[in-house]
Amino acid sequence: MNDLLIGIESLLDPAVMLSMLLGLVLGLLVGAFPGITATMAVALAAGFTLTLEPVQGLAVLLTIYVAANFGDRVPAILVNTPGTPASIATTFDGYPMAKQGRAGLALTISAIGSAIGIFASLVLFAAFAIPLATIANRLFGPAEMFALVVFGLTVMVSISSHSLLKGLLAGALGLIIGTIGTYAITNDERFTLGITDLRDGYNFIALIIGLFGIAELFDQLLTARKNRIKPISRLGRWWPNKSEFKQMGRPMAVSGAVGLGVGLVPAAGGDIAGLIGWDRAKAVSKNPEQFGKGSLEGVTASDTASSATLGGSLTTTMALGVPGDSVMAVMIGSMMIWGISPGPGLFTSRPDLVVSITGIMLIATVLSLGVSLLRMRGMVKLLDVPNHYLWATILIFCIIGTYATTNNIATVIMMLVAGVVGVVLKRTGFPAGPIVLGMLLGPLAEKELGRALLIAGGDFGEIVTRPLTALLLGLALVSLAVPLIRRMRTKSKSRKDSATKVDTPA
Amino acid sequence: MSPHNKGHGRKAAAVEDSSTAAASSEADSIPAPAADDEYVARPSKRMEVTIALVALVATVLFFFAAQGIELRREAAPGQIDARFWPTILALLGIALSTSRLIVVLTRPADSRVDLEVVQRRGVAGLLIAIVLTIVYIAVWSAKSFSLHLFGYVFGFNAFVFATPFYLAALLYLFGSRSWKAIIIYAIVTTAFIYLVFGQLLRIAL
Repeated sequence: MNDLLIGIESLLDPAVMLSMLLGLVLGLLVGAFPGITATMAVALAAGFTLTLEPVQGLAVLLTIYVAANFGDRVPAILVNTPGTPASIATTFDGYPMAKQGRAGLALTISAIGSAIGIFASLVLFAAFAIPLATIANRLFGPAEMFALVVFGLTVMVSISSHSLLKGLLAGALGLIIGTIGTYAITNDERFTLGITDLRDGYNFIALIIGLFGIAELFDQLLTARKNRIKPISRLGRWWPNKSEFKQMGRPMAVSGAVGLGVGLVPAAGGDIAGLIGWDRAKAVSKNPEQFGKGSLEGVTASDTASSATLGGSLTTTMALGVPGDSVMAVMIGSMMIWGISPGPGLFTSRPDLVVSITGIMLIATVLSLGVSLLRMRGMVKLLDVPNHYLWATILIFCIIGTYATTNNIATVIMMLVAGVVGVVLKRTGFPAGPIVLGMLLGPLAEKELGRALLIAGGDFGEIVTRPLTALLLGLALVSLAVPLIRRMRTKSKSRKDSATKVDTPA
Repeated sequence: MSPHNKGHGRKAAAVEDSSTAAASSEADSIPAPAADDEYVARPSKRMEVTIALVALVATVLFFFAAQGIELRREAAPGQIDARFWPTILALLGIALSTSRLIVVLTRPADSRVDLEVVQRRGVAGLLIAIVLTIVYIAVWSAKSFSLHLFGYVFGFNAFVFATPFYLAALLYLFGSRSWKAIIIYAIVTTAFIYLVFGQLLRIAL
């Protein structure tokens, strides 16, 4: 009860409210601009929130996370371009609806679906975060934690890249970067090149701003073209009627369940949930033929599913210390700088944080829904803002955000170098997500492996044969094998299909 | 393909990628609009081979660097020393990059449908933006400087002096041709950053 009061009290601080308003504006803006992902915005905001109190900083970052989930539907529906990857499935039916003159309706349904998805996922977070952390705290020793970290890493690597090997190499690069600094157990310096600043490790915020902010911006500069697509301007009716509300029930229930489940898988995000949720809702729909052609049920399903991942993602991040998605990976980095280490120990030492986080997410959802319903017409106008303002603003804020972390120009140079490396990696097909995950989880994996080996007297066999460790490492192997088998099957199927086409006379 | 889909190779590809990754069995039923060939980056075997070779060389170098880590003291029995983890990672990296090299040499190059094609003007624009940023950082790192004019000494905060010029140059480079808009944007943004971050948040700009 006391923790509940402490948690609620921390939310009543005017600075927290102000932080949420700031996060709301930023989140809706980044969501509405295609090409700026929530990860990029949270990475950028992380630079400015380091000086804030943890709850204030969480208020900014979590509200961006929530609000971007609302804003990103606008370009998905009006321009057929997802604002963030989470709204990929929204384009399937949202854009056809807009072309039919029902954009207003699609935007409203999308906002309602997103809000209900997040509300449901918050119930999951509030109910399961502490029990999960408690179980993990009781059952997980260093060996199990090591296995869990390996599992989290493999899941993200396997889903985030076209090529599994490129994803793994990106993860390995992150792990290698994670070794820079002083090895805590023996105080030996590693790869510091004699630079004093590197003794405490590299600047995490500078690297993520470079990898997610600058690299994305540079890629947009490299590929910019003149022909811009005009957003659909005929918005039509906004509010759904009674029968339309009724139609939303079934897809919402099915895809909501999908989203909640996917959210709990470490590193699986809203993009995947949206696609699976859309497909499952189609399978149970009375009008599956309308899916992909402007189905109201399709919009409801994709947005409820992708938004319902937020709570699950938050649960694995906070209770287990394994990021639920890229945004959460960046958020863990910021939290560590504030002195909060997500993981099984967090909620046993700070149960009030569950209340604060749930409260922030709840208020952020209500505010985002309110703004989405009231001010959607204004947000639509954002799509007309020319790119040159956007690019110049992102660049200067990346620079100032990085500088703010250390007040040192050298950090800005490090960020720019990370940006150049990031754009090269992006152009060559290496995803940034696994790099950040490797940077975060590498030191944790090394620490836990070190502790586990010490306990086991250096016997690695004893570690991997522990039941829970074996299970988690087995799951890690499965998470790597499944995409490989799936890709091989898809390739052989497409080969068979093309062979059939050749055999069949015209 | 409808005119609205034109030029959305990146988005279309994102749809394809994620559907493959997320739900293979369902992939057939998920609409994945075809990418517009004109704006999609072409697969490149040469690039893939080069990158795989660079990765292999880098991981081999990292392996030797890991062996060269100076140890202050021997690890206790069962304890891992500072070389252990980097060595494991280096070996993992060598194995992965060797596998990648074999794959790229024996198979066709990966599809790049999730990337748009690089524009010639884009490369020049990016290089100029990088040079402008380096010059800006160099001027800013002076922190403050003074100007002797007509017998008077004018002191400037380097950030306040350099930022409007930098922003104006960026805006022009990125395509804005309205001088009024450029000047207003540059001054208002600089003032906003200086007041909010320099004065309110006390960041030493």
